[in-house]
Amino acid sequence: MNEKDLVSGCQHGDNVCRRHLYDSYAQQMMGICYRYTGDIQTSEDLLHDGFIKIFEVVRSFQYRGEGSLRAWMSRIFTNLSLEYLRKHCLRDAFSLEKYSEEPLVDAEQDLDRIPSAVLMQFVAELPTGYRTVFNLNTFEEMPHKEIAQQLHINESSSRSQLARAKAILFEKVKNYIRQHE
Amino acid sequence: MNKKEGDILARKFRERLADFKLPVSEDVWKKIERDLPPRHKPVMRGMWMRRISVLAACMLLLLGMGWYFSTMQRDVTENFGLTASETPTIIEPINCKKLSQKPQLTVIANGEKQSCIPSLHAQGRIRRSFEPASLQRNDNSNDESFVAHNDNSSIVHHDNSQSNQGDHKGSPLQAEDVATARGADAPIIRRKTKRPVTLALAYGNQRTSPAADLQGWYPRTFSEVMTLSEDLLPDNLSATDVHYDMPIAVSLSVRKNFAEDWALESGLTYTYLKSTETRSFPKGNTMSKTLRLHYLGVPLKLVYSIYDNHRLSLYASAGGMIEKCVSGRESTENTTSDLSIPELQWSLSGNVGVNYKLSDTFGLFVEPGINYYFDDHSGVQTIRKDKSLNIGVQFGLRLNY
Repeated sequence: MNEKDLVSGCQHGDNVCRRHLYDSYAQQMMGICYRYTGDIQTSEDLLHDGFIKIFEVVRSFQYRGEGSLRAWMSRIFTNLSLEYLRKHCLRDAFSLEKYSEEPLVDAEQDLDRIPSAVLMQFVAELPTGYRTVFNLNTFEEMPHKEIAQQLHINESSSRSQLARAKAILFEKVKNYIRQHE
Repeated sequence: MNKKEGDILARKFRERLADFKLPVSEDVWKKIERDLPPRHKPVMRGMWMRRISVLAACMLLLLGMGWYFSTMQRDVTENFGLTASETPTIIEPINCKKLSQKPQLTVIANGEKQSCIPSLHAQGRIRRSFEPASLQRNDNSNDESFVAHNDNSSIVHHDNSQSNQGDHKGSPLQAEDVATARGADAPIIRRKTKRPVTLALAYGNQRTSPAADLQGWYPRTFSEVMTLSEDLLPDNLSATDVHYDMPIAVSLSVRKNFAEDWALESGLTYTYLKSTETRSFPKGNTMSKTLRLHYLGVPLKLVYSIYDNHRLSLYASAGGMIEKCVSGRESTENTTSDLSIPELQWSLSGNVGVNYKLSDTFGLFVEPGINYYFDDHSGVQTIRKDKSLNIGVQFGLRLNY
């Protein structure tokens, strides 16, 4: 079944198509939720809410070619995650902490040696505020001005949060490399 | 960590984690399945609205079909040249020994006999008269003359095929004669008053006035008249048949949804109308005239989606159209002339349609419906003027994008 038919089936409430859509995208969307929340249980809750919302509003979705469905779903899960973080985690999540800034020998090569699941774990372990800004800037390619508007923070705060997030990840990568040498 | 390392780190994380898949517990789907919104049942939503729409569309369709077929039975060669207000009275047929053998048509004005003239056809059936209101023919077998016609006259038609040529040979038939004939054991005289609607329709089937009718059909100058053979000279009691070809319409339309089930449709419609009028004269001669008209129109319709699924969609639409005749041609056996109709043609329409989706992009549709055409007051007779309410079917290809 191609994506068009899948969308059409979901638009008409076909449960087989709904299940097919879930099977096709659940793990990717779970990855997005986890990247934002850093918590498996919370991510599964968001996954549930997100798919329910998708099945409710899919009638308004217009298929515009390959990739459009995934982009649309990703946006929904990203927004859901941000909404969750705004309500539950972001109020005092932007305090700055001090991390060491020792350089890597070869950042690119070192990062390639680390499995994706470990990298995901590093992101998940970031403090909520850092993680959120890192996700928005790195994965959604959102400029700081927009991030600031989304999270109701200053633009400079967004910049410093991103810098701190990268510093923490850097530190974690270094530690991982050091432990697995 | 410098800026370059920071950028590398961000890029690497993006590449490795953008499509990262994380295993999901089966419980999640179970919860989703439990909380799933019910299957969309578009037929059930807005049930009353849909029912009313379907019912109204069907009723309009049935009414239109009923009207159409009832009027189709009507002979388009009904008498014309008389207005409904003239309410002629026809008496036919009559078998009376006192009457001449020839079928006769007597015109009685204000209760007084004016003339007695032969019938239009040997069958004794009055078809469409081309007699202008101002003229009447007086045909007493050997004598033909035109006499002034009184607007309040009525026509009495006699088919006396069994009668001899006695005392009344060639004489006009008076009302008293009719009464006498009835009393004298012969023929039963049937009086038939034509239905106003029939007259009005027949009259409307020509141009706006009898004078215009003659101008449209016959040479306009004296010299032209003289070039015609006697057989072709206008016979006041000639008859005509009008044959309308089925109108052909090709349209290109665009439909835009402005609400979930509502859409507006507009576009461009080209319509070709063709009609042929054949005029028969008592001596067997005929003349025909062909009218070809090309219209361009802009429709505007409101479309309501009644039902929609993977493959089929059912909808109803209602709206109007404004059309302009962009080209017209009137031709007889010998002459062809351009015809201009400056007046705009307005119409209303109601349709129900079924669309079969061949794919998400293409669909085949069929749209039966009814159309009502307002009189454009142009003076040019078309099928739209003759039958203002028409049924029609459109079918075609629909492109969705």
